[in-house]
Amino acid sequence: MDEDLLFRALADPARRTLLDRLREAPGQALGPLIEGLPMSRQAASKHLVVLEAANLVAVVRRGREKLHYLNPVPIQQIAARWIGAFERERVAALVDLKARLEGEDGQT
Amino acid sequence: MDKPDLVYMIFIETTAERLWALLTSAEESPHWFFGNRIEIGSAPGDAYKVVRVTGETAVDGGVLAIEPPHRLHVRWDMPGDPLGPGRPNEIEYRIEQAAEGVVKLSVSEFHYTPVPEAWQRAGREGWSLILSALKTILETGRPLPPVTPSHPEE
Repeated sequence: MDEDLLFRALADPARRTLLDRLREAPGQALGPLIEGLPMSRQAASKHLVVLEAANLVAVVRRGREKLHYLNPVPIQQIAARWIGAFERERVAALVDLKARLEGEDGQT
Repeated sequence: MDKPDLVYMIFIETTAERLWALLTSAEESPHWFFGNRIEIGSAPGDAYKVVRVTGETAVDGGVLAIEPPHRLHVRWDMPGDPLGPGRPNEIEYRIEQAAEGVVKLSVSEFHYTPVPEAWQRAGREGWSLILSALKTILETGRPLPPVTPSHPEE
């Protein structure tokens, strides 16, 4: 992971807005993604290229459509760099994520 | 094919063959899958299972497509239908050459039965940890020390 690319991509508020929108509604094409935003298609395309280069946005092609998804993996890697070490010391056993989820009623 | 509902992606310095072997190995899977063991057949129609440390079956699904070392598409049936009745959700792993010595792994989720936000939140963290663990194992030869995903209620 290129951290400089990642931090530069996150440093721009317009790009963070695009990530917020992709988190709310994953898999959007450019048009719906910028609807209601004070951002031209051209500007949004440039921002998406930066986000894609930082691996923060994954692109899936469906025919002529280019769909965009928030990829949280690089953010997790950054978190692990500063938070992970403490977690690891604290936790001795492997954790079964699914088992914990099943204890949930599934509601937020 | 339908469009994925969620996509996770990571670049790993390895070969498609090594990543595929790790991804489909019952013995290795606990190192990157929160201790869970994956049991997978070799042809479409075969079983795909995720078995917990306790021996309980967490996922009792099936292989929909398997094209070593590039594509694995599975049905993610959960015993007891915790998401409710309906068509089971699916997961597709794709491994592509990204550059010399680097592969891109993407995991796509196809939701046919709605997944509640709490599960999606846990999924964002869970898949991130899983993909990071695969990367660490392949690039350093060692599994990550165990990390606890935060509880979805937090």
